Formats: sequence, structure tokens, C-alpha cells
Amino acid sequence: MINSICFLTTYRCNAKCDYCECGPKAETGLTLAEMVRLIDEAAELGTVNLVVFSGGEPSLLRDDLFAAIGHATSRGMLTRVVTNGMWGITPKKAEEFVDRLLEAGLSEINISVDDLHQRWIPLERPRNAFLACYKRGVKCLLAHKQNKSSMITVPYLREFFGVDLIDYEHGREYTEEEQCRLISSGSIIPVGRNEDQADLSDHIYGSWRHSCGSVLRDIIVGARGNFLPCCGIVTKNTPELTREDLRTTSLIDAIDNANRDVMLNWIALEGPAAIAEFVKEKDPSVQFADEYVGICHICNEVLTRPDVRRVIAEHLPEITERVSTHRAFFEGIRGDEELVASYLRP
Amino acid sequence: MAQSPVLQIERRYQALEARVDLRRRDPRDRLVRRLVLDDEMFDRFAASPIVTAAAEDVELDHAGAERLLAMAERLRARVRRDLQPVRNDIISSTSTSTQENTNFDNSTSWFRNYGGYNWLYSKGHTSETSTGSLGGTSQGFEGVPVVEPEFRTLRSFRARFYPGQPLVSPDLVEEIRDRLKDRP
Repeated sequence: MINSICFLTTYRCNAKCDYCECGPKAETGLTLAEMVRLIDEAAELGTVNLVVFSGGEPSLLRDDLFAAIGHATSRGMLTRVVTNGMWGITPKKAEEFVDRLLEAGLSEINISVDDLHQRWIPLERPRNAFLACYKRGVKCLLAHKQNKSSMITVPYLREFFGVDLIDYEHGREYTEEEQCRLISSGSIIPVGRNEDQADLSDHIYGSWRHSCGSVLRDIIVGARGNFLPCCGIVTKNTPELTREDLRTTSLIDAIDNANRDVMLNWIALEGPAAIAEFVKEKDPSVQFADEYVGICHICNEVLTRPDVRRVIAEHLPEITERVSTHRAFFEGIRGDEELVASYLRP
Repeated sequence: MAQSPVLQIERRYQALEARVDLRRRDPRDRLVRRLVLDDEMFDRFAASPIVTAAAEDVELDHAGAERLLAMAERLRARVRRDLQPVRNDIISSTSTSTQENTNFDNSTSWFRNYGGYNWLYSKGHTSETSTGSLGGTSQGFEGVPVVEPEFRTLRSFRARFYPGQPLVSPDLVEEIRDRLKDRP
């Protein structure tokens, strides 16, 4: 069930962080008219209640950002901006910007803050941005990533921001006040710019062998109008994540097509580690690392390595049957309350 | 501004395009369902796959039988793995007590009988020790607000069991399309 839609409004950004594909020279992104149309289409799905404006840096859109937030709000949807806080040049300027967001109808904000971003943006700026939000009682989550050697840690941010930041835990309930000082910290995934130079011994490893809970659930509209049916960490240039051009295809058609795509279903049902296992079984000369930083790390490898894609292509009919059977099983048991009851008997 | 060639970059990669038929009605799928849910059937199939499949109107060669067995094993493993946390929520079917606890870490739990089963719900910081006195934990569902346990069970079941699919069903896609047709 799609509950939210995220716009990568532009791939342009004043920062040029490692493990990202955005930067100062990227082209201008979605137009206001395109965002308005897609917000309307998302509203028509009947399930979407949150519109996220991310990037690149969405504040570079200036008035178009406020107008798009206003439009989503007028359609009864909540809105979130994901920003690097570059606009927090001074406390006063930060407050003015937050006021404009609130006037447009913004519901909540995420501010990226970590070693990667702060190589390009002084830490004072996201601090000013955060404090302006905090002062006005705006729901705010600091999005923080780290490696083992990261200098900007959560305790460091608590001290530098002068606010008792609360570690965000998925599913946990927070008071209104607590929702204004949340911080979510995760590992840096070495996918994107300079990934080949990553010191993997410095990365913090997490689980990566499971099926993906994001693909076909998270819906992202890329800055080129491309449809990204996952969380967007995997490179946006893979065919599976750029099949649809939403400038010429309706959102519902793009969703429906993605929903039937064998590769996307395989990732959702079994996960990229299972795909790697399949490839190794078919061609033992294809080797993979022993460990991956996270599921997006191995997913990126599976989808972008020519030798892996070659083996998959050679066995596509078998894979299609395997994935179709898997999917048919879940389709068959959907809503089968008798089955649920039988499995829940002690 | 000229439109960017969104799909042009695909040319760097070998095409991997194939579709899942969400509407298919294949006797093979019915057989898989039975293999996953029926232990006796699974044992019979494992012992004699081609004969057992033939009795269900499914023709298999040796390689096809091996693939189907492997699929059934994968799905059976997933059923066991994904439903274990749901089973862990069921404490027993005998007690009728209801209680609410504030745990040492200031999280809260409730425990009550519903529909013949006893349920434990915890929110906030939970751990085995904080709720151990009640004999179980609500693993995997921390903090999810719940109105009724049955709703929660079905919701959890579907969330865990159901593949990542953006819309509830192909039927809903059609329903949305129909709705859009009526829009100006």
C-alpha cells in the first residue's frame, strides 16, 4: 500500500557529497506543473497521505517549493521537506525560511547532518535551521549517517545543537514536543559518487540477506521524471529503477507496471542476496563479497554488475517462473483469514 | 528546457525485462500452496514428486520437480520465520486475566484475554527482562498502536507475509483506473 510519494525535486545541490548522485552542476529538476500533476495523480490513488519533497536540495526550487507544498496541503495531504539546511545562514534567515514553509502548509521537516554533508555546508547552518524549527514547534527529524570514524556523532550534535535530541525508533510513539527533536542515525551505504574509493573497513555493517521492504512500497519521482519504485539509495541509473518516464506515463500505469516487473518482485520477495545466490549457483565464476554494509549495497551490485546481469538474462524464463510462483502463493493467501487463524493456533 | 532522456542511460545495461502474470490461475500454484501449508502433502511430494504432482494435474519433469520442491521449501521456511513473531504474541489460551504493567524502563505493557487467546502488548522500550514476568514479549511489533488484537494480527500477518506490493491488489489498480476514467 503506497502511503507516501517522494519527489526528488532536483538533482542539483550545493553539496557534492560522497555516495550521492547530486551536485552543483546537475540540471534543474521537476517543474511546478509536473509536481502539481503528480500530486493530483497521487491523491487520486486514495491511499497517499504524505508528500515528501527531497532532492538534491529542494530549497533551491525557491517559490516552486512553497507552491508545491501549498498544493499538496490543499489536497489534504501531509508534507515533508528533506533538506541539508543550507538556508540556515543566520538564525534570522532560518526563521524566515521556516515561516515561509509553515505558511505554505508544511507538516514536518528532515534535516541531513553528518560528516558527508558538513564537508560542504558549515554545521552552523543545519543548526540554525533545526533551532528555527524547534523554536516554532515544527516536527523535525535530523537524518544522520555515520561510519566508524565519523566525527559528527549523535552525542556531538546534542552538544553542538544544545538540545537533548531523541533517538528515533520506528514505530515508537512520541509526544508532540519530542517529535520536534528526533534524530535518526544509520550507516553510510557506499553507493553513489566515489563508491569505488570507499574504505569498507570503516563502514558499519548491518543486515543485508533479507528481502527488501522498500521496493514496490516506496514510490519516488526522480528529478528527470523517472519513476523509482524503491527507497532511492541504489543508483538511479539502473533500468529497473528508471523504466518509466512520468512525463509520458501516468502514475497508476507506472505503479502497475512496476508491480508486474519480475526483477522488482524478485527483490521484494527474496531480496538481492537470494539473487546473488542464484547467480553463483548458475555460474560459480561470478563472485560476491562475504559481507555487505546493507541491503542497498548488495542490491546496487546485483543490479549494476554486467556479469551478474548476464547470468540473470540467460536464465530469465526460469526466474520468471520462480518469481511468478512465489508471487502467486502470496496472492493466493491474501486475506485468507481461515489460513491466518490456522497458523495462529498455539 | 528540453526534456532529459530518462531512459537513454539504460543502454549501458543488459535488458532484464519480464513480467509476472498477477491474474494467472495455474494448477502448479495450487500445488505449491498445498505443499507449503500441508505437511503431509509436502512429505509425499518430497518422496515422489512427479507422481504426486500428476495426481494434482501438474506435469513435471525431473528438473521442474526439483525447482518446485526448492520453491516449496523456501516458502515453508518463510512461513515459519515470518509467523514466529506472531505466534510469540500468543501466550496461552487458558488465562482470562487482564493487567497493565509499567516496566522498569518506563515502557508499558498490557496483557489480556481476547477471543480465547491471551495477548501481550508492549510499547516504549521493551526487552525480554522487562516483560519476562508475563511470559513473553511482543517481538517485532514494538510501538504499533493497536485497537484490537485481531486487527493487529491480520495487519501484522499481511505486512510480514505479503510481498512488497504498492497497491493492495490488481483489482484495486483496476478500481483506481475506473475511478480516474470518470474524472474530467
